[in-house]
Amino acid sequence: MLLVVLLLISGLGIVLARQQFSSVQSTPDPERSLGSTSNLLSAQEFNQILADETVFVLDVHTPEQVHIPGTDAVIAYDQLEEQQDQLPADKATPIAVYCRSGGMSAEAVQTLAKLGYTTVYELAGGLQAYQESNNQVTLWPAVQELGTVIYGDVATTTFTLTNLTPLPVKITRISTSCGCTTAEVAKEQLAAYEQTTVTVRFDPAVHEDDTDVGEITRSIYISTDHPQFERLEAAIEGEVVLQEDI
Amino acid sequence: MKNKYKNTAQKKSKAGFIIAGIIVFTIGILVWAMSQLGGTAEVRMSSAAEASVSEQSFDWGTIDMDEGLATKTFEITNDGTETLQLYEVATSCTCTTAQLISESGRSPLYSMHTKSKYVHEIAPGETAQLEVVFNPAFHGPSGVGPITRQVTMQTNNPQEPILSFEVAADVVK
Repeated sequence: MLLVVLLLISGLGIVLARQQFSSVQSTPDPERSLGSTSNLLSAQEFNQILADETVFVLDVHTPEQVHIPGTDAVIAYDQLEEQQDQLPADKATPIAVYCRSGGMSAEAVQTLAKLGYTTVYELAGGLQAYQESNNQVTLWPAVQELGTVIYGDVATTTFTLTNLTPLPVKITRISTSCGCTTAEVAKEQLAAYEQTTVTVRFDPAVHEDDTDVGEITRSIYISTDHPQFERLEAAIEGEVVLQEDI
Repeated sequence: MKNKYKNTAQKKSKAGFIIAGIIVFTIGILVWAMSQLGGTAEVRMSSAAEASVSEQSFDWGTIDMDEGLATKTFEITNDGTETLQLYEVATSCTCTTAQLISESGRSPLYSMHTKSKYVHEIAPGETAQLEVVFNPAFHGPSGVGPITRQVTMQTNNPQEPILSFEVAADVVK
């Protein structure tokens, strides 16, 4: 009994400590603060947040715009309360919010705080500022996990190709490392700040034998006419199993 | 009596033949096994083994599926002062093979799933050829379009543990 009480107390202690830690993390710079729980980030700082997989990245702009690669959800800033079920259940999950220029995200920060989220970051200047400082063409994510693929099935996944440059970009070549993998782009020409979906299909049975059984990694290569982004690369990973082994 | 002696002698020589046969057979198996294992040399990690390559990627341009195999030879020179060892060669596709050729001999023909303990040795200053062969007809008529294939291998230089090469083509029918 005593043990249980002790455990409860220590558990509570950890939760409290975590919350305190979160609020320390989100202690705003008074100059840049929009709300007591927000943390205004520059486009460069936002990139670090994007690299952190524990952060939930949310685009709140309406109407729907091009999304920064790595965005986890798209919910209009005025629909957050209605669509709460799409937000992380754990209120301690850090959320990074952005819109087009900063107005809608500022409101979203207030709403998220009201909903109880303890750590909310906001992209200063929105997508526009992000595009200005991230003049690049990206293929996202770098690796897409297929999980378990049953031999005989075809696994399909998608990547996002984003043109974050102010100039149009043309896709000049798309190929893969193996005949078992095909890749297709929805659009071969991207206008400035446009994005498209890359659909990748992996067919382990293409060789008509079971040589593709086991752990696999296959690469996708996309060439563009942008001199700094002549070649982009991403991969799929998974494990191929035979039906009878399940 | 005489006959009996003769018989024993014959038996003895027969047994001798069988034993000799077994010995020859065993040696043969061993030699074959050794050749399968290749140099079987243990990998000795060394930063003084430096692989330098002529080029890392090559584009055949357009190749016709009916024109048969496409071959590209890359060169790997050991610019270091210790023996360069290359092993666990793999290609990214069953349609592509790779083989190392140098004074120390020819490696097995590697493909996507080849498992071999062979270690290819390149003495300091020596150059080896990496012969990459792509079969454009391997996947049948569906194999048309742009392709990119990779050949990777382990090296004994901890600073550059993996060497990788790439071939590309646009397959037409």
